[in-house]
Amino acid sequence: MRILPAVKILARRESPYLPLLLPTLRDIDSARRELRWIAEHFHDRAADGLAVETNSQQKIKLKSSLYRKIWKACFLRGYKGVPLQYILGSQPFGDSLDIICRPGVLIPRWETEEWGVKIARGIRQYHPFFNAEENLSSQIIFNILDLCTGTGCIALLFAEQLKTNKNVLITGIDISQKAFTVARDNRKANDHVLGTNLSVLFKVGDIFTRDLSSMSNIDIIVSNPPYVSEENYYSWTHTERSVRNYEPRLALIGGVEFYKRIFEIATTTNAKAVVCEISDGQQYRDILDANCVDSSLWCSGSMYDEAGVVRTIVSWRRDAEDEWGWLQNLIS
Amino acid sequence: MYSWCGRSILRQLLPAARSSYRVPLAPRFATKTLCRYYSTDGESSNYILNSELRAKAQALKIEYKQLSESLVNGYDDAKMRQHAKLESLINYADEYEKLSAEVNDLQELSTATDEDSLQLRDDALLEMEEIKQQMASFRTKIERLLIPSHPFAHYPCIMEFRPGIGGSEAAIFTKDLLEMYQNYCQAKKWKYSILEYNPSGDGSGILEGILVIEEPGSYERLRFEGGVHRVQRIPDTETKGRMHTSTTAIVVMPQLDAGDENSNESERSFAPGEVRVDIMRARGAGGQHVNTTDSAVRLTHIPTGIVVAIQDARSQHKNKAKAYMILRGRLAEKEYNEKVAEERKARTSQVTSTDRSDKLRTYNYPQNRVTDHRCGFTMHDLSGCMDGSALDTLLDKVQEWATNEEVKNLQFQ
Repeated sequence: MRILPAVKILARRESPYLPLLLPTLRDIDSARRELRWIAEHFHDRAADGLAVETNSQQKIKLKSSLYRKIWKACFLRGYKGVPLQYILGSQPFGDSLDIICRPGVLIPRWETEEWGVKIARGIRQYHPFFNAEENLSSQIIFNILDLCTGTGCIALLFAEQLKTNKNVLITGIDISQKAFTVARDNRKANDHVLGTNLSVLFKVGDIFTRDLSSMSNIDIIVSNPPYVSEENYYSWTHTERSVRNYEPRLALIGGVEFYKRIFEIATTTNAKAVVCEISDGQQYRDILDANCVDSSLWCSGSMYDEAGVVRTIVSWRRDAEDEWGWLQNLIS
Repeated sequence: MYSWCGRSILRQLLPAARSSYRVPLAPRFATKTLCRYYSTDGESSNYILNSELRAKAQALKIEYKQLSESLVNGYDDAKMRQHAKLESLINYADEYEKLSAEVNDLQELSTATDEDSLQLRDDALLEMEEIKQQMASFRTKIERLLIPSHPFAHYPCIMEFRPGIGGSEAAIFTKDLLEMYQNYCQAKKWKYSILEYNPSGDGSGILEGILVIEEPGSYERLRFEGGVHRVQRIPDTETKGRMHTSTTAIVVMPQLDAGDENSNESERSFAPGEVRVDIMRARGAGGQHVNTTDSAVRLTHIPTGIVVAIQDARSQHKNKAKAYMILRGRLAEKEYNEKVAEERKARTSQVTSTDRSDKLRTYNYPQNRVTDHRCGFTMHDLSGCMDGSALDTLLDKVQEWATNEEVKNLQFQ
């Protein structure tokens, strides 16, 4: 839809930066909101310098550089369509996390946050490991494996939600060296979620080739694998231009083969439960049709997100009904 | 005189006047008899217990005696507890009566004019001051026992600001008010944060603002601030020098928890299906296909139809948590107001009301005046009020008025 000239005039009157954002954001309300976030971000970063500086000449210099930065950010966001998270360098996640985002690594989505919080809180509330007496579980470790971890957002989210006096080990694996660096930086930036009994490890590795059988007794595998099909990737009704232009293909294009592999890994590592993000209801049916999940071993179902789209496949071992049976309440 | 007592209210008050509404004399007469004038007592009277409370205490004394007699005859657990509860109240009331008699004597002495007692006068005045202080302490004790405390009194609070009538001037005034309460918090050294700040088009005012005050007990202090605030001034945007009247609506509610969807401590948790969550602007495939920050969240509480929309933060999860916090506060407030309204139905003549449809305060800039219409208190220190330093005086008066209202309600329970 064309942006009406009246809207452009209105935007220009309000702020010189606002018209810059319109080409991508299309409507003035969201442009206004993003401009506020951008302005707040750069103002916060410049605030210290402005407060310390006493020389008025220097102050003016700092201010003009601040305005230039805001202008450039708005230009990149509006005219080039760069994702806001790459411009600001971070995305708030979970209750207290601030996930660093850099080009080359997928930006965490709100859907991931939503199901992550749901599952992690469920584990905390219903899983016997977290409800058992102290002396029973002091020697045992709760193992979480996060495949295709990217920024490490899921791993850190689970760390944040499951921080108790119980032993928890979260391992995140990703094929990309860039992602590994970002994930490590994220762990450093959010070290308040780590505890004496809780650690988060990141590794580089291709889940298709890497032998993961050394890891055994995994309790849950969580994953947000690439799930955009080649066809949908190039269809403008499905995938945003900004995603295509700026986010890594490697983290986006994938399909059923990933889920097949994840369930293979689940079998070799003796995992009790698997929760993966999926594209939609069609993909859920595809996964079941391709016999990725052995229904004699696994109970599975799908979970909707708040926007009403099938977003996750939730599976647990039939022989681990005592520990994971509560997942039944989450699936539809 | 017409300044605060609206005709619509007068019409409700005087059924006889309704038929002859067009006759100007009728409402004018009514204002003369019903209008409360500005408070006139300059001397501090904070030691005097309300006469109704005093009567109530005396009535309870009889009940206490009856209870004591019945307890002699046989032991009853419930009666025993009631007895113990009344005992301290009766003690305080007796002390108070004793002191009040003393004050009366001293008063006589201090106003006597004959030669002999002149030297006693100074002593009497001094002693009177002392006794008055004691009486004030007993008064608060009695009041605390007789007046039921608000169930959310010790909670922190949330204040919502929205412009009412008056267009951009109303938005500017809303911003001024938000700043006023921020200043007040700063003066009180209370921790606060701005949860939502939605500036109006040109940035001079706000369309919506939510202030969260973390101080426990701030709800008790500020709960009477909820309602319509009116401003009368010549706006900066006005070219012809005309005075404008605009309004701002403030909603004050208790902050029941830290705002967490699944928090176990929350006083009010929601049944599944009770709240509908809408993710605004969510479209199409979602997930990895989209990277726009669609963080706006709207909650609809289906049984009551309350809608809360938050879009302030970049994180949808946080917006949702905030929205739940506000929804809980609103529901708690609604429930409490309904309860109060029910209790109040017993009262036949309701001259004043805390109804939110009435304006409760006027800020008049040309006259440098702030008037609270409920307690009829006027303060000629607008700048002091707006920077938060003089707001306490106003709040004290309102609190006093509210206590009196509570006492009036007591009679009908």
